[in-house]
Amino acid sequence: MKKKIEINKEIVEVDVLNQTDDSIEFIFEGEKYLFDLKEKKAQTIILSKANEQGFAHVFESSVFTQGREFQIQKPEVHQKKKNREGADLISPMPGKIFKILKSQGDVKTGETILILEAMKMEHSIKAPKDGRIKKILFKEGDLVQGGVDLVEMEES
Amino acid sequence: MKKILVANRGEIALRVLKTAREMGIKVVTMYAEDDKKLPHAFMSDEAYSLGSGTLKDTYLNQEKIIQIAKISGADAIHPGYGFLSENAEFAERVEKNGLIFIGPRPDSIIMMGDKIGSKKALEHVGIPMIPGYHGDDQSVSTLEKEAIRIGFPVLLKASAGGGGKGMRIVHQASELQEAISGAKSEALKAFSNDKILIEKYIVNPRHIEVQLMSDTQGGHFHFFERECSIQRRYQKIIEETPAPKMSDELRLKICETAVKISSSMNYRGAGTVEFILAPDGQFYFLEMNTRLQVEHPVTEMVTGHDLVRYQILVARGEKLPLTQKEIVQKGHAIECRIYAENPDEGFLPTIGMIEKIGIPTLRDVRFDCGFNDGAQVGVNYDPMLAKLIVWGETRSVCIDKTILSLDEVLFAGVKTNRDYLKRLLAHPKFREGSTHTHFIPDNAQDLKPKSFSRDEKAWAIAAFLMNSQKKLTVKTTSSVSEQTPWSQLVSFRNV
Repeated sequence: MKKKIEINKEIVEVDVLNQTDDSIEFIFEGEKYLFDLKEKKAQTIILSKANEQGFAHVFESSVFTQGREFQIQKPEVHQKKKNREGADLISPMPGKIFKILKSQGDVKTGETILILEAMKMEHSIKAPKDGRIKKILFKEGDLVQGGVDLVEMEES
Repeated sequence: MKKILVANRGEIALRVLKTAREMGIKVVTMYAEDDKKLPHAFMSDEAYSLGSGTLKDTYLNQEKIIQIAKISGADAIHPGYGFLSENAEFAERVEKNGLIFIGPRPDSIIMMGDKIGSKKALEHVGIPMIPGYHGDDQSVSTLEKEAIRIGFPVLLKASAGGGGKGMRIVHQASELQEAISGAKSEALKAFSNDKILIEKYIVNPRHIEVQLMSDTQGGHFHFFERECSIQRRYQKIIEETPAPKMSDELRLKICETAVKISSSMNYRGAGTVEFILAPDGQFYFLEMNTRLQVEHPVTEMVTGHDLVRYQILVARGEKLPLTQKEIVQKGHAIECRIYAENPDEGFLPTIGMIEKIGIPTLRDVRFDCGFNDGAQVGVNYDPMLAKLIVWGETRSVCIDKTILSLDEVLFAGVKTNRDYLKRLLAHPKFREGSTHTHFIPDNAQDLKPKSFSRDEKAWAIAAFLMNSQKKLTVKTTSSVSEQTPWSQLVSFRNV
C-alpha cells in the first residue's frame, strides 16, 4: 500500500509491503527496509533493523530517533494548519508591536511589515507572498498575545 | 540559619533547595502566578505567591520578598543569579531587616557594578587592563601617538555610543589618519559628539573566568577557571573547565590574579572574575560578577566542592574548611545551556508546551532543570530551559558523553537549540579546543543543520507508522489487546 508522509516539510511516498503489530516492511526511495518492533512504552518504542537497535520517541507531530528530530505527519494534517496560518499574519509569540514599517498597499514577498518585540529581541513579521495589505490591526506600542492576527492581507 | 528564602525561580531555585536540604535547612520559595505549576513553586517546604504583573511586581518586588521572608520566619535570603542578585539596595534592605543576605557585602556589589570605577581601582592593585586611551585630548597627533603606544591592531570607538557606530579596526600606522577622521565624522553624525577612544584590538579573544569564594575570616580561595567563549548574542551557551589549550603556568597566573582582586577588596562569598585572554597569553580584566554564576556546576563537577554549601557557610560567618591546596581539578566538565530558541533563525526565542523532557542516564551527568513535563514555555522569562552538565575523565570523553546525553533530554514540543549544541560540540575546531568568542559567527556555515540521510528518515518513518498502527489496534480490539504484553506495559507505566 502506497502512503504519503510529510517528513521535514517534504512529502515522500512510502510503499508499505507488509505491516503487523510487530514489524513493518516498506520501500523508501528505492530501498527496502524491514523493522521489528521490540518494545513499546508510552511515547517510546524500540525498533530493530536486522540486529541494529534504536529508540524512537514519537509525539504528535515529531519523532526523535537516530539522534535527530523529525517533523513527521500525514500530509493532510499539516495542510489544515497551513491554511489557517497562511490567511493572515499571526504573531509568533506574545510581545509588543515595536515598529510598523508598512501601511495599506502592495507588499512583496519577504518585505518586513512590522517588528514585534519580545524579551528584548526583535522579530520581523514579513510578507509571506506578494500581495496587498488590507489592514494592520494594531498600532505601535500595542501589546499582543501569541497566535493572534496582526495583519489582514490579500494575495495579488 | 534554619530557613532560607530563595528569591528566584526555575532551575537555580531548585539548585539552592537541594543543598539547603542536605544541610538540614528548610526552604521557602516564591513564585509569580504564571509560574505556579513549575517545580520551584511546589518542591519547597513552604511557598508564597508573588501575585502577577510585571517583574517589578513579582521577582523584583523587594518589599514583597522581604515581607515573605518575615512571614515565613526565614532567617536568610539566597538571591540566585539574575533578578536581585547584584542589587546592592536589596542586599542592604535584607540586612537592615535583620536577615542574612547570602551574597557579598553591598559595598562590593556597588564597587563592581561601576564598570569604569572598578577598573580604575583595580588597576592600582596591579590587575591587567586592556591597554587603551580614553583622554580628552582628541588631536590627531595625540590619537596617533596613543595608537602606536598601545600597539596594533587597535580599535577606534565612539566614546558616546555603541552599536558599532564609528567603530574602526586599524592594523597599521599608515591607515590611522583616515580611520580617525572616518570614525570621528561617523561618531559626530550618530551621537553629535566626535570624541573617540582607542583600545587594543584582540584577535580571536577567549573568555576565561575564575570562580572565587571568600569567607569572612580572611580565607580567599579560587576554584580554578572556566572557559566560556562559545557565545551567541553575547550570551554563553557552552562552558567548560579546565580551559582547553592552557598551560598550567598561565592557569595559575590567571587564578592568582583573580584572588588578588577578592583579597584586595576583602570580598565575601562567591564571585567570578571575567578575563579576556589574547592568543599570546596576555589576559585582561573584564568585570567581576558578584553572585553565583549560571555555569557554576562545571566547577563543582571538576573540583568536587559544593559552592552553594560554601555560600551558606560563609553567610553564617563560618571559616571555610579548606586550604587552596585541597582544591584540585579532576577530569573535565562541560555545561550546555538548553534554550527555547531557533538557532537556525537568528536564535529567536520559541514558545510552546513541553510534552516530554527526558532524563539523562549516563554516569556523572547532572541535569539542572526548572521545568516539568506539560509546562508551558512563554515569553515572560529568560528562554533558558535547563543546563546539562557532563563530566568525563578527558575532554574528548566528555564531549562524546555530552552529545549522547543531549539526545536524552528531548524537550519534545518546543523548538530548542539542542541539535545546534550537538553540531557545536562535534565541530572539529571545538574538538581540538580552538575556542574564541567569535566561534559561532566565524563557523556559521559549518554549523548549519545537517541534511537527513535516507536511512535516518527510514527509522523515523518506521517509528511513525508503527506508532499510528498501535493506536488503532488498541482502540478497535480492546478485549484482545488486554492479553498482550503491550497492555501490561500500559499499567506498568502508571506505577
